[in-house]
Amino acid sequence: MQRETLYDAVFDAQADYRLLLDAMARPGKINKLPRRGLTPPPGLSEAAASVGFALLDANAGFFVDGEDVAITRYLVVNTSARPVGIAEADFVFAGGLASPSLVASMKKGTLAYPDEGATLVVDVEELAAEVRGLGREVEAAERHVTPDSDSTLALTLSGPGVAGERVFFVRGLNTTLVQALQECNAEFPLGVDLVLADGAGRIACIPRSSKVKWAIIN
Amino acid sequence: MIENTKFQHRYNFAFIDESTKKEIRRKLLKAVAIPGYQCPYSSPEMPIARGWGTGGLHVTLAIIGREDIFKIIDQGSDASVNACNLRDFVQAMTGCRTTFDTTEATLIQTRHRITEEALTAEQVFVFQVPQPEPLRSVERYEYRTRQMHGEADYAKMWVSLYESFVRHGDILLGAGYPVRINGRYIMAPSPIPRWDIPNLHQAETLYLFGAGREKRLYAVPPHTTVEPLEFEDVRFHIEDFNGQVCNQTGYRKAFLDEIYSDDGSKQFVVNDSNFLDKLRAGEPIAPFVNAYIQQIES
Repeated sequence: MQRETLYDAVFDAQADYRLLLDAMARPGKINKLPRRGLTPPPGLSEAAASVGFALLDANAGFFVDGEDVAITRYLVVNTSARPVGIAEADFVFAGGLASPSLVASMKKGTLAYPDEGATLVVDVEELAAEVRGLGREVEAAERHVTPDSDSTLALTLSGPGVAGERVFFVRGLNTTLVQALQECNAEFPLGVDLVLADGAGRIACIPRSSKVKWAIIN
Repeated sequence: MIENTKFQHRYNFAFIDESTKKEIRRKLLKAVAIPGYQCPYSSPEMPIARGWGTGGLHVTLAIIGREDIFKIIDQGSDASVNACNLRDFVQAMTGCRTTFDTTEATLIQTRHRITEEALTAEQVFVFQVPQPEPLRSVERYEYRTRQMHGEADYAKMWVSLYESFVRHGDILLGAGYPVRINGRYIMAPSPIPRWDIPNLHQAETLYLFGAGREKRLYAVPPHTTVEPLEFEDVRFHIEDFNGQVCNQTGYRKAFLDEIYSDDGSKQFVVNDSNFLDKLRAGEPIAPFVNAYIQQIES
């Protein structure tokens, strides 16, 4: 498995982390991670790999949805992190169409130590801050249309980090996964924090403190 | 000959090793995701003693990059001993540019003050915290306060505020007035004066808190509701300088220091040194605006 030699573990990790911290502090804000020339195996985007590289080390346990061998090996070789079962994982890497049961099996933390709740890193097809002319359609959209893999979701966030409400758009994210996350994070401060990543290096975060509304646009 | 360059630098960039930085970074993300919650962390050894700003330093060094412009203040002053030494240390360990100018800085570390000038979304503001536990005055055991936070059981805190009012006619908490974050956690804002508390509410900036001795990290994200604890009939108020003005500039809408003369008389001067410099030089200023400061007549 390829060891990434172009990645600078000090400065690239720091720069990516600052963008990640900014995205977590401002839920729904889309930040673009610089291209690092990483070559992750299929199923893991460069942005998701960068998130892993910035945060994982030998003290963090991670789980890859479907126990994908190539991705697991890739992250172990490059970060020295420990592959563990989903119930113990601090970080879970998954695709946008992953089964919602994934979220239910993740660590949510305890009332005394809610920070032990896991972080879910999800690869989606595309993240966008704006979709031209969609404003009216969002209003009109039915909330419980049957989703399919190609549909675009409008996610409306409110709570800490958001002035009023912030809307952003995701393609390739299963609505059932969003629902599972809503249920999982219903009992603040327990819950799971979500990092969305797409193929163009964009990331957006939904911490457990955010209230999420969603609508299918098409 | 193959040259060994690995040991030519005695320290890693920003002093802390990468593995520990990652641990602090992971904890900071959780702190941001759970506003006001005190997240335990490793608090590694630093070349200064714990309790002298190590928590703030850990946060700063875990997030600082080569492009950052660093500013550090101690009780509003760029020139105070704690600020000067930590500035020298950060500068030596990172090679970052440092500044006194609040608006120019991208990363600001502070001891016990928020700057008078409004902070922006491009800046990150790091507090040095001596005691992160707001409930410590009413409950001595950590496992109990942790349980109280977990259950949002803040009755003892309210009773202590009530008792303070009944005994003394006011809530006698000057620095570090307890606040409630996003309607959930009660948080110690570090010993900033009451004057600065309203500036935490719905701010543009990300506020990060590091308590090195107590090994806790916490955060207030931008645009977060921060309410000082108050009763319906006993409201929170900021410091009242009885109409005193700064003796250097005549300015009155800033936090003032009392300066005592040999004859026992006292004068007042703007506490924030960069703000004072700007006022004296007549440079443009962009101070924080909040309902409490607006009530002061200019």
